[in-house]
Parts: sequence; C-alpha cells; structure tokens
Amino acid sequence: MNDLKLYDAEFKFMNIVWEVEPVHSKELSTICGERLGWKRPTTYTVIRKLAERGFVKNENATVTALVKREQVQKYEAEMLLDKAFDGSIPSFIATFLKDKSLTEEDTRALLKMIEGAKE
Amino acid sequence: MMKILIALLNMSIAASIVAVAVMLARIPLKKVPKIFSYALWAVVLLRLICPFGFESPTSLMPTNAEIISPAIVTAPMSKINSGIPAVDDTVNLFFENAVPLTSINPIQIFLKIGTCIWLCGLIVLILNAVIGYNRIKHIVYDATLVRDNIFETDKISTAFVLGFIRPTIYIPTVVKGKQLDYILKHEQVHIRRKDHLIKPLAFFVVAIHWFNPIVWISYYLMSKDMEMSCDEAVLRKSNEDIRQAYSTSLVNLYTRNPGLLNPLAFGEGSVKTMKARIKNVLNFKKTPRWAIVLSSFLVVLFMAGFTTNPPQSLSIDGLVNIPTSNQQSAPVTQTQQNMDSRLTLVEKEYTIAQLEAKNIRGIVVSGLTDNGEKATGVLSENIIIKTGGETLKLQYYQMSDHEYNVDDTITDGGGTRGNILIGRTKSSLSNEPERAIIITIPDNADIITLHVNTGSGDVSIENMSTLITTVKSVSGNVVIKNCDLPYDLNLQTVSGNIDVIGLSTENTYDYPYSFEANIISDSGKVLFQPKDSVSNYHFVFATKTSNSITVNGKSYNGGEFVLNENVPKTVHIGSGYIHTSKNEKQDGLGTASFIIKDNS
Repeated sequence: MNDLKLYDAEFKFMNIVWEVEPVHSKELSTICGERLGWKRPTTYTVIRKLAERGFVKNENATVTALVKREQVQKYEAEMLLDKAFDGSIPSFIATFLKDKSLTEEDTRALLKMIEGAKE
Repeated sequence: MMKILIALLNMSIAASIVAVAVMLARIPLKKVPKIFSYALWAVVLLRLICPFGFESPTSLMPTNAEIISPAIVTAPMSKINSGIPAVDDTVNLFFENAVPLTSINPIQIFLKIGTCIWLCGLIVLILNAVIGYNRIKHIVYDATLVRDNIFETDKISTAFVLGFIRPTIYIPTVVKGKQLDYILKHEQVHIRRKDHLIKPLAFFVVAIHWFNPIVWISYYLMSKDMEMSCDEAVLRKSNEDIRQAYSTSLVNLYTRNPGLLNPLAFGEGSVKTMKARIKNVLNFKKTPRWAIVLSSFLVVLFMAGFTTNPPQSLSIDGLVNIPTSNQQSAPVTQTQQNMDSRLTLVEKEYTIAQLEAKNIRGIVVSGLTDNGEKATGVLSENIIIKTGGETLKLQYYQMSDHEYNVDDTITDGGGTRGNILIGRTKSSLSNEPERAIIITIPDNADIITLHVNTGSGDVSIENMSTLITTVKSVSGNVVIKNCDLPYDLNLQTVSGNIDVIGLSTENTYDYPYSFEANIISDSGKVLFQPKDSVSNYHFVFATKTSNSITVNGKSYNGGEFVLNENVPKTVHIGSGYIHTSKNEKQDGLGTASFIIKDNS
C-alpha cells in the first residue's frame, strides 16, 4: 500500500483501533462517541472508508488494523521530509535543534540511531 | 402569483429606500460600536419580509408603501404613484404612450415573464445554498470533539459555525493557544447573538429579492457589521489590550481560505472585509457613555421612523389620483376633463374579495335614479361623482333633475377613512363620526337602487327608502337605521358588524314571496331589531363563525339565536342553535336552514 495519508480524524481513530483491537464495531463506535464526539453512523462510515483503503479489516463486525502505527508514522515523516526539507535529514534535524537543547541521554540515543543507519 | 410579485416589488422598493437611509446613517455611526449599525439593518429586513406597514404621521418614509398597485394588471391605463411628482409624471407618461395593441395589458405579459424569471433565480440561489451547506457538512462529518460544541478537523482552514438548532463550532486543527481562544470567543459571540440563524434568514430574504442590487449590497454590509460588532464584543470582554494579538489571529485564520464562502455556514468574508475588520479591531476604543446613549437614541428614532408608513392619502386602487386641495378651486371645465378619464376606471363594481385583494379603502358608490339613470362615483377625501354624461364634483352633483347636497366632505386635512353616511337630511343623521363623508338626499329625490362598497369604511344609511339596497364592506361596520325595508336588501361584510335597527315595512312593496333579504357577515356580529313585523318576509342570516346574532335587543353568543318577535321565516346560520318562540331547540350546525313557525 503506497498511500498511507491519514486525515487528523482518521489518525485519531486509528490510534483507538491500535489501542483496543480486535474490537467489536459496536464497542468501537461507543469508544469513538466518548473520545471523538462521533455519532454511531460517523464511526461506521469511517470504518467503511478505511477498510476500502486497506487500513482496517471489518469481518463479522470485528475491526482489526491491517497497518501498523509505525508504518503510518514513517509515511508521515517521509512526507514531511520530502515536502518541507527536500528529503534532507540534516536540515530536518537542524530545524528541530534550533531552539532546543538536548540532554546527554537524547544525544546518545540519536548518535546510536545515526550510526545504525550508516551504509 | 403576479400579485405576489407586485407586493414583492413594493416591499423591495420600500426596503431599498430604508437601506439607502441605513447606509447614510452608518456614516455618523462609524466611530461608535458597530452593534448600532448592525441593529439598523433589522428595519431593512423587516421591510423586505413584511408586506404591510403601520401608519404613523411621524414616519420618515418619503412615500406610502404601495408604489405599484396590484390593479396595474387590470387597469386600462397603468400608473404608478410614488409620491414624488417628477417620478410619477415621467413613468406615467411612458405608460400612456405605450398604447396597447391588444386587449391584454402589456404590463401583464411583463409580469408573467418576470414571475417566471424571479422564481428560477430564487430556486437556483436556494439550491446553491443548500448544496453548499451539505457539501461543507460532508467535509466536516468526521471532525473530532474538542469540548462542548467545539469540533476540530484538519480538512478546513477557517473556523466557522454550522447548524441551526445545535450550532457547532468547527476549527482547524492547526490553531492552538491564544489564537484558538480568541477565535472561539468570536464564534461563541455569534452563537449567543443567534447570528447562525440571522445570517441564513437574511440570505433567504436576499434570495427572494435577488433582482435588487441594493439588497445584495445591504447583505454584504450587514455581514460586515455583524462580524465587526462580534469582534468588538470579544475585545470589550477582554481585560487587557489584545487588539494586536486578536488581529493577528484574524489574519492567520480567516484569510487563508476564501473557498468556503457559504451563506449557511459563516465565519469568513472577503479579503476586503478582513482588512476593514482588522482596521476596526486596531482602532477599537471603549466608547464613552454619552456616545452610547446618543447612538441608542438615534437608532431607536431611526427604527421607529422607518418601520412605519406615512398616512395614506385616500386613493382608490392607487390609480385614481384624487385632486389635491389647491386643485379644488380650479376651473370646472379643466377638472371635468381630468375626471372623465379617471372615472372610467371605477365604473366597474367590485366584489368584497376583490376589494380586499386590492386593499381599497375608499368607497365606490353607484346608484340608479328614479328615471333609470345610472350614477357611479368614487367617494374618498374628495368626492367625484359621475352621472350619465355629466360630471360634477365636490359640493354639488346632479342626478337627473335633482340637486343633491354633498356636504362636509372634507372635515379636516387628515382625510376620511372612508366612512360614509347616507340619509335624508343632515340633521337626521346621528352618531356622526368625526371624519366622514356625508351624503344627504333631499325628500323629493327617490333613490331606487343604492349600492355602497367599502373596504374599511363604516357605512351608515338612515331614514332612506329604496327599492334595492346593497352594502358590501370588508372590515367596516354597517348600520341601517330607520329605513324602509327595501324590496331587495343585501348586507355583506367580512369582519364588520351589521346593525339593522328600526326597519319599517310601512312603505315596502307588498311582495312577500319574491322578497329575500341577505344579511351575511363572515365574522362580525349581527344585530337585527326591526320596528315592524317582518315575519312575512324571507330573511337569510349567515355567519361563518359562531358569532352572536342579536334579535330584538337580545344578544346570543356562541351561536344560539332566539327569534320570538317579528321573526323572519328562514334563517341560515353558519353554526350554532336556534330557538323558536315555542322553545323548540334545533341544531343549527352547518348551513342548514330553519323554518320558523308563526308566532301566534
């Protein structure tokens, strides 16, 4: 699946699915009603739409996610990187580091990550 | 349908006058809170939807509401009556020169086509608005709850309020912190002021008046005033000076996407409006108390002045131009000429329904003299009477050989409301209303038929002896006092009361079986107290409601009628019961008729 673009509301919905799956669609709509202020039909419409796009599966009224949270996060990050930083990771990191200082721990973790990503 | 269009045109014109006045009034109100400018638009809105106005001598309107008369459709010669002589002359000259080739009034064709175009425009605008509303609703269907009635979604870039009964605020997800706070406050003021209902209502009215550019301009300006006064409310409530921050959030939020412009969901406007709003926000100062008081006073004065119409100068159909007082002294020959052309307009008789529809407040009188000559006339502030080929006006008019005195036709400058008194001599007329048209008819004149039609005027006929008397009135009261029972008596009102008092059969032709009198009032009260026994004659009483009918001094409400003395033979009653002298109670529901047995 190439297009993992999620609207804000859809992402909030997926967060709930990831948290509680597998879940009965009725129960899911109750949770969405509490947390997102959705009416029952809205939840069902969103389930249908996301099922069509392959994000979730709705079998026997049980909803399960077909896409992992990390996949979506990665997609979003890549989109952002492409759009705002021309795909350049250094300029991306530079922007984030502009107004912030990193703790010792953060720095170590980051360096480890960069080391691991080296070719 | 055409009548609706004419009424609409009249409302549109009246509202345009008020709208221009509001636009002018907004100039001095520039420095005070915009709520005053906003309030003024209420008058325009009222003018645009309310087909009738209240009359008041203190009205600021330059003309009466009905500039184009509904009778323009049927009149042989079309005229308008705007109250401004120069306008009338120009327009009417155009009408006069347009000689109709066929019997159909060309105005009628224009109106038919106009009605079609108007309806199409209306439908297109309403459909467009409804579709637009649904589209937005569809876009934000999955917006997620923030708190209360606030939902957020990243599919929009502008905050707005949607919904009528439970209005919901939709905000873009990107807005955070202080900005969000201001925007929410702004939208909450909208909801508290019911702007989410006012705006669509205003748009609906604009859609009805879509052909009038002034209405569109008004809508644009009203929306601007609405937003600005809303901004001011937010600023006023804030303890610190937030002008800078507030205007920044306006720019950030509302100028980004003008694509969502829809009358049923609002919150944004054009870039030009936004500039004006920001200027207004930055210039915001707390207004001194005296300015508020003065503005309130002016606004109230303005509203009172423009919601009322000036008192109507009496004119029938709005077509007959009644000569003004300085014309009264004009040479007779000249006035005769003028009148001839006018009188052709009124030789027709109207039914009550027609009178009602045309809002006729004058009186059309027609009568037959004893040698069969027909006389018709318009009675209003000034009297114009036409008989046969001869026309005379005001103080005297002639029917055959008799000279009748038309007395005291103008009692004061206020004009009459169309009350009319007809009697033998002036001294015999009682209960003379202050402003009335009084026709006194000398003893030596015999009136064979007497027809009086009025809209709202009261009619009083006293001490008369006629063969046929017909009085039709919409809301005026009818009094027939001390008259001889005519061979044919027809009294008909919609809401006016009918009193028949002291009816005498002394000089009545003895036609007991072909006689029929109809006394019909849709919702008025009927009082029937004949002097002599009229039990040999057929009377028809009818009411549509169960209003009281009073017979011989006793009033019976709730549709119960007691007829015991001098009773008529047949009584038709819309609803209720009837008692005969023998205490037989009969159900009188519906339009059943009752044969009352002899009293003996």
